[in-house]
Amino acid sequence: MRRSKVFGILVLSILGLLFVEYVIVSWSGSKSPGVPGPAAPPEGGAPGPSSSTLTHGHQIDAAVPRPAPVETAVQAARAQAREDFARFLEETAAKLPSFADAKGVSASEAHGHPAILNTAAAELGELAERLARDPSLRPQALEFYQACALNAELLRPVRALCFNRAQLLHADLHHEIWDYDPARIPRDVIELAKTF
Amino acid sequence: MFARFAALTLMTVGFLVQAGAASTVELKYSTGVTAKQRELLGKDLDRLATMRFGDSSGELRRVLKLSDTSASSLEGWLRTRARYVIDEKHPFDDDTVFALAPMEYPAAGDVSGSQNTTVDGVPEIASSKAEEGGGTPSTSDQGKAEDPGPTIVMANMGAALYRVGRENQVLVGFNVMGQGLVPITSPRVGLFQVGRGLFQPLSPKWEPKVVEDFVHSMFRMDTLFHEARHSDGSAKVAAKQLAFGHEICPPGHEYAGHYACDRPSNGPYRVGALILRSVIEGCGPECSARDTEILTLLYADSMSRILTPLTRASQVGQDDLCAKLLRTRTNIPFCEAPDESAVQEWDEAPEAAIGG
Repeated sequence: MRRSKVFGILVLSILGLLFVEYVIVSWSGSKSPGVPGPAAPPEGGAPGPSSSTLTHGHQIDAAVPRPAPVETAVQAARAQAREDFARFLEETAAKLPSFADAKGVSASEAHGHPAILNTAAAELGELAERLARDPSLRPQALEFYQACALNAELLRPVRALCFNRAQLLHADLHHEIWDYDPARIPRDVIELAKTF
Repeated sequence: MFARFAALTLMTVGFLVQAGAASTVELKYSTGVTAKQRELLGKDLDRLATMRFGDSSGELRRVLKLSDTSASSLEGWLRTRARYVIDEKHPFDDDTVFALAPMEYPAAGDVSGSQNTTVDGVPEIASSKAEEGGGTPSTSDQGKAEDPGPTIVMANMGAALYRVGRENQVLVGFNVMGQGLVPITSPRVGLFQVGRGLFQPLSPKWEPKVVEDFVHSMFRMDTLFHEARHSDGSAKVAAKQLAFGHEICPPGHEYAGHYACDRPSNGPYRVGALILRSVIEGCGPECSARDTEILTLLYADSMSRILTPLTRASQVGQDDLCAKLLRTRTNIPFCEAPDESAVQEWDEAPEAAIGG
């Protein structure tokens, strides 16, 4: 008699626990159908804790297609690379020499490659190296080169290099040449860009 | 079996010869040129001896009047124009510059321009302050730490001394410290003054040791070939053609008002640019994207100094922008040939003192 009573209490407890779980699962499922939990990262973000930790979480995950962890990590790394590259481009753009900078070049320094030009060469060299290592950055680089080629304040050799690279990148990415506004880029810059 | 052994032996010998190739350009140094500077220049020239040079446009051969662009041909060109290297502190005074004898020189084409010509790109000796001359100085901060003036990069002092002798109708002798007296009978005496600016990193954020890398080596070779062009030319047509003097850059140019441009399309800036272009074209996978881009901007800088229309001066090659784009596309407006202008080139044949 006593043994059967204990057994009955145990069965009721199990049934009770199953009911509680059912209620919780039903509640969370109706609250956010098809949307990752609040801790889930945006696209490309790092994976966070999700409702899949629940006993029947796999049923919920099956309803919400999510990238595999490796894919997500790659996306995160790409996003980070794009962000770093954007920062690098911003810094590089600020270092490009202008006609105003050239006014400070002495007569004797002007005879050779002035320091402002050499510094720009170093920066643009770094940019080319990054592009060679990660071609996925080309769309950002194209925007940089186009803006540089159109910038009337910059030294002509720098603009010519930017125009050259912009045309090649544009052809590569969009299968056609960059249809720039000819009024915004002087003829001598174009002719210089055509020599290399 | 024997054939395989022979081929292997030849390949090994070929590799060893290439790896250990020494330059045939033998520079003589003044005592003030540091051991490090000598080492770097020596290595640059040795590197030059093993390099391949592209010349798809044929312009390097045409402008330098070479039959080919092999390293040995370029070395030969340099050998006839570069012989002595003196340090930036080498004195130009009564102890080093002498009037050896009265001397007659070929008549200048434009007599009015032959006297007291403003020295342009070729350093002024009369001031006895070579550091203020027209060489190729830099304004690196490292130089400023010791000396408030610009740090000289390289200057062709042989051409400058020849001008002094010509203007005074004397044969000038120059005492190169440690090498002895050098009679300046022609601008091709090949006397170059080098300074710290030639051996400094291109970017202030780089470590000093980068001066040994490929890019810095090519920067020095660009400068050396530029200065070597100043060993050419004569006053037969016009005084400024002697030593390929530079021209004042016109209004609107980056360096307007400075003697930092060339009228002809075969002057020092073009020669330096062609060397860089050939290096870029001839360089294979050993050249990184970074190296190529840096040298390309230096090339563009030199090309931007040429006042003869670039459309004719460039004589584009197989590797230029339009050649690349036109491989897969047609009707590219900016690739259409513009109006051609008469190209201006000066005679490179050097003059020499006639006799006393």
